Amino acid sequence: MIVLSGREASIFACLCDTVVAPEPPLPAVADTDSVAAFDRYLAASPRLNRLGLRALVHVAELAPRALGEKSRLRRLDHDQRGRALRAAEGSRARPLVDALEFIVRLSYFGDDAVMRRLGYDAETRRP
Amino acid sequence: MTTLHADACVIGSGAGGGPVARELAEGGMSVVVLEEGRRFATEELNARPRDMMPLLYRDAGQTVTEGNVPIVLPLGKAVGGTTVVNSGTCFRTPDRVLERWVAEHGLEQLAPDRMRPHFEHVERETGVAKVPPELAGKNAEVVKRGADALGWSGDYLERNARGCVGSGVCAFGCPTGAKQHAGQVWIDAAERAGARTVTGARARKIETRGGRARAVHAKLEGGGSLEVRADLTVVACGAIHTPLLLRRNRLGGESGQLGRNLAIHPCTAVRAVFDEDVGMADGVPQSYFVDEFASEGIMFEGAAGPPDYLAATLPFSREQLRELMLRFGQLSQFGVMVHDSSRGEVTELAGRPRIRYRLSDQDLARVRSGVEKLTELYWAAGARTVLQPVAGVPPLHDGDRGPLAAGRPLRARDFTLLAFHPLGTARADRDPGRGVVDEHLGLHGIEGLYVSDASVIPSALGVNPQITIMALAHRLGRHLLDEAS
Repeated sequence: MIVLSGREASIFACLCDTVVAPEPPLPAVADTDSVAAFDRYLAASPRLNRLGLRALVHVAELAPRALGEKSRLRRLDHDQRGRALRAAEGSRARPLVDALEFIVRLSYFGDDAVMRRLGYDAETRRP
Repeated sequence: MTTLHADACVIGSGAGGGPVARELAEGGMSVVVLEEGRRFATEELNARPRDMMPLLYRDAGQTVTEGNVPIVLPLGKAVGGTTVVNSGTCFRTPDRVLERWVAEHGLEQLAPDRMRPHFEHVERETGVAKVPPELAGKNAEVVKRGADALGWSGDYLERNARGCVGSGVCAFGCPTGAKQHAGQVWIDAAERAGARTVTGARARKIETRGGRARAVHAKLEGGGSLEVRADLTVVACGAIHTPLLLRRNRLGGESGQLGRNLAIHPCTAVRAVFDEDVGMADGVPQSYFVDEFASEGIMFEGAAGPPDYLAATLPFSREQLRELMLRFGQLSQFGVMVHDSSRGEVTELAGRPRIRYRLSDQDLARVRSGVEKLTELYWAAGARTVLQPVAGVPPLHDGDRGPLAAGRPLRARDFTLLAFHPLGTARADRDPGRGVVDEHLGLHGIEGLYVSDASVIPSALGVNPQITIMALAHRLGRHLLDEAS
């Protein structure tokens, strides 16, 4: 990773899994390059934005407790994470949640295997 | 520090800088072009929006306005500027807009009959032609079907492309080199005529002496600095960065208009799910337009692309997101663009642009109306589900016009908005008390300093601006050569 720490990478992977909740035929987050893509996106971001986005990742890990769940994000099960996400989406922090979800969706759905499952092969667009 | 000497220094290589650089170089001047971004070979453009966004867009596309609604305002940063990542749509400045510039800003030189030869020139050089139906894509076809059913006016768009095969990723760099962006058309030709382009060069200082611009000082990526001593300086950094460069150098501020009068053409997108295959990633992404409501300040233009491009802005998560994306093949997306009356301002904070823009009630009403009308169009086209870009509005089914049509009160921030056409922040006006540049785009009160980009455009256009910018730039190039001779 260029920018992300190991912990941040792990949290982002969990976030991807929470926001997208992939099921077959969509591949699991671990089978995509979503985290590496987020890392590259961060590396290209202005410094303040980069700091802010990394901080948001940490907030996302801790937020479920503030939203009524018993533990932090990576310790929750699938349904508990879904519940925490819904609560965050309905909260006053919605703009920040939206920003994070934008990046998660871009990172996950930009993976080549994911796009091919949806009928898009980037290589066929190149001469 | 390295020092170069030239007849002209052009800061920026996009739609504004490119045509001037070429005109001056082909006219026999020695030209140095300073470009903050880098040059991208066609082979590097890999048809993957997620990969290309951090490379081709300034700050990975994270330029956002402040105001009553955050509006993402992506800007290109490369040789060719934002034309590397635009949709390639070409419109001439509408005659009524040019006539307004003449009447309200004293810009008689920009009257329609005077601009015509410049439009013709840039269209010829960039290969502007109407999208043939067979390249337009099914996304356009379903919208055309809806427009035709309602009797609404529309047509295939004109674009600057040669040999287009409908790769579907114009906004992320054309992987076949078909899109005739400013780097390919103007900068390459300028270099063949002897111009020199320095990439990774960020202009910091414009040196003036005796009421005349004399040199440009730039910092180079990777270290070092460059000085270009030239009798002519053309600032072409775009409507966000040109006013910042001028203000930093205490130039162009006399009228009080520098950085002000920002128009952006705010946009949003409506999506629809059909039973039939739409394949929106195939064909030209922005190939068709509906101008039935242009007189109300509302245009509909295509906004298609690959899965990640769509998914990123869908306001859904988990099951809803997954199910929708698994139907990517049946999804259509089309854009609403507003000819805004709102005006913003660009200033600088901690070395970074601060873009303030408040969407007026009038423009909010236009956005709302555009979304309602595009919804109606999709029902007429046979959609099964319509997704409006409004917080709290669920997917609509089977002809349901939803809460917008029922009159639900909405705020600006209930809409997801983007914008791609920042204009007006160094506006042209014959009167130095009202404009930053004169009708020849020369900075009022300074010799040898010109502005050639969207910042000089004195009002919103209501149409995509690249032809306007290029035509004004070509006109400036001809003017500078005439003056020199």
